[in-house]
Amino acid sequence: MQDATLAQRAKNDPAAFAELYRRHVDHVYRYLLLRTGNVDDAQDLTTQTFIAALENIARYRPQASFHLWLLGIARHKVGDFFRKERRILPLEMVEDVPHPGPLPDDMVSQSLQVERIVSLLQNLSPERAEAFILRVFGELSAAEIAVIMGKSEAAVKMLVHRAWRDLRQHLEPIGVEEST
Amino acid sequence: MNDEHLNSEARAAEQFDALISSAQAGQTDSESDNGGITSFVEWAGSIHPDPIYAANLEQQLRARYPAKRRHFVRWTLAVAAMLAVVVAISVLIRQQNVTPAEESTPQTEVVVVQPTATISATMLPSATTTATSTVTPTSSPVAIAATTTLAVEINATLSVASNSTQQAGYQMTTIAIVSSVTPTPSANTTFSEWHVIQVTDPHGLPVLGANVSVYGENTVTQLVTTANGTAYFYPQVYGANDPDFHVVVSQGNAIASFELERGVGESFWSVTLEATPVQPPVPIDILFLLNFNGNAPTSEFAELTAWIAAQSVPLDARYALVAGTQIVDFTRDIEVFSSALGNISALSGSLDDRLAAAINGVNWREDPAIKIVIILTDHMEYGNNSYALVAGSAAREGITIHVIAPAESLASLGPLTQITGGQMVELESNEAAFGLGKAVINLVSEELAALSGS
Repeated sequence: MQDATLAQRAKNDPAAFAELYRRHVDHVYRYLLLRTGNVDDAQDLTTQTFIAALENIARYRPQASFHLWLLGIARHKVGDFFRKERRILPLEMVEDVPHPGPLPDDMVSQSLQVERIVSLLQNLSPERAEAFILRVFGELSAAEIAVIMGKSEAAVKMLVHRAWRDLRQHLEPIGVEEST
Repeated sequence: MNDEHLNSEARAAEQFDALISSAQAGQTDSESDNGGITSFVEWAGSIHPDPIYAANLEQQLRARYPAKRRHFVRWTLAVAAMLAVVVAISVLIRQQNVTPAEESTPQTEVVVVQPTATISATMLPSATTTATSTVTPTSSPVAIAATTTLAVEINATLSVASNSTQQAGYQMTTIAIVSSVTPTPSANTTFSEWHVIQVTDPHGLPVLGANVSVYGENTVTQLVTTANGTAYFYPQVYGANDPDFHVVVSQGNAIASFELERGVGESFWSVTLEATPVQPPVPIDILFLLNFNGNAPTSEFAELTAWIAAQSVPLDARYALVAGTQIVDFTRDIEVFSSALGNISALSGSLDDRLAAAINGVNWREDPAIKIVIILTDHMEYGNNSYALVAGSAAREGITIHVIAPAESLASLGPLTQITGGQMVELESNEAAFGLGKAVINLVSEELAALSGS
């Protein structure tokens, strides 16, 4: 069943919304994790995003992509988060903060990789980083990102391409291996 | 950068996008991989929320349904009651309309412009609201005055019949909404409810500078969308106790409206408007409000102007300054502004009063433009103005307020950024010189990113 149909049913049917939740929670969480760099914050914002989606489900219009609509809410939530939780200046200092030693747990290992990538993303221009995170972690198409960022599709493709070009110089040392 | 290079980059971007798509679809092709994007995408796909957290959240969402239904029932009953009242009032008003003029001032003036023309006019629920129109050609007087009589006819289609053949042949072309009411935000502000109103054009691009008028029983407020096409409406800021609102969004000849239901927390509303996007050079007004003890940020300003000059999309930037008791109105002349910035002294003062001067004491552009106040402050002093009141004034002008301040000052300044959709950036004093310029550029950059289609 398509998202739009489920969203229509979700106005009165918890099971329909639960199905939408299961389909999209990974993408929303990944996007928020990469924007915040922190598991607790990402979980909190994921919760807020889905609660807002549930409360606003009657306002969702089937003509639009549900995924795009949901990521739009997540984007607003993370904007609020930065307003309320404050950003720390200067961002350049983030890279110099020593990380704790590696622990055997996979989740911790993944968190460390996320932290490093977040710190690397902060060296990119804000719009390159945003476009890249939405494309790779939110799994939005370039056309969908164009709508959400208010840019042309070609501009989004260029932003993602350039973000990767800047980012990949730093990837190998953190364990995300390049394929050959 | 020449056209050939740009085309080459565009092609590379196309290929790269296709590569990400195939990697996300699990169709890996290492031969054509662009420096390891496949493995990166695979790694990204391996990130999942903690399963216990995910399961708990699903339960939490399911548990919200019963409460929501009760809420729905309450609202349904409330709306039904309201409709009954509206119908009753409508009947009374229609009866009043046929009473002699001396008993009731004429409630509506409609000069007909075309026989049997039907004008889809949104008549606004305010005693002081007037809708006017222009016609083509303009030799005949045309006016529609909406008064309290029409207050209950929200969203009604106003059928206009001709009463004079002399006036036939004219078409109403625009409906402009003018309000004589300038509501004052309430100083007793709590933010338990807010509405994010996103205005886009038919292509999905944000509409900058759209007027967003919110009406309850009377005019509640009039907001202007910022660069990302968003207006934030906080009913409690304006002391609005209406059960719901009628919202009219307009820019030029384009107009749209919707009913905004009250809620708790955050609600999202989207409006599509047949509006014309802002054309380059993109107008941008940046006002610096300096409220700290120390040297003026001349080098940071130079950093910003150099960055603006380097942008591929032409910008029509103007700069203004409020510092202490000194006000420098908007100017495009960077040298004049830099000179003024270098000569300022006595930066400290009560921030709320300075901010009131920043919003009301300089000449912001009236046409759609990106309008930003960047507050740099290192301490708080209270004056005669409430931050929420001043922020409400800024929101009405489509001005976004960003604050760069130490942690101890940010908490008090939250309403400024919340009400206008701005950002708070924490300034660590020891590192101020290092990161301030970049912070300012980031704030401006994000505003432009929201608007630019380049």
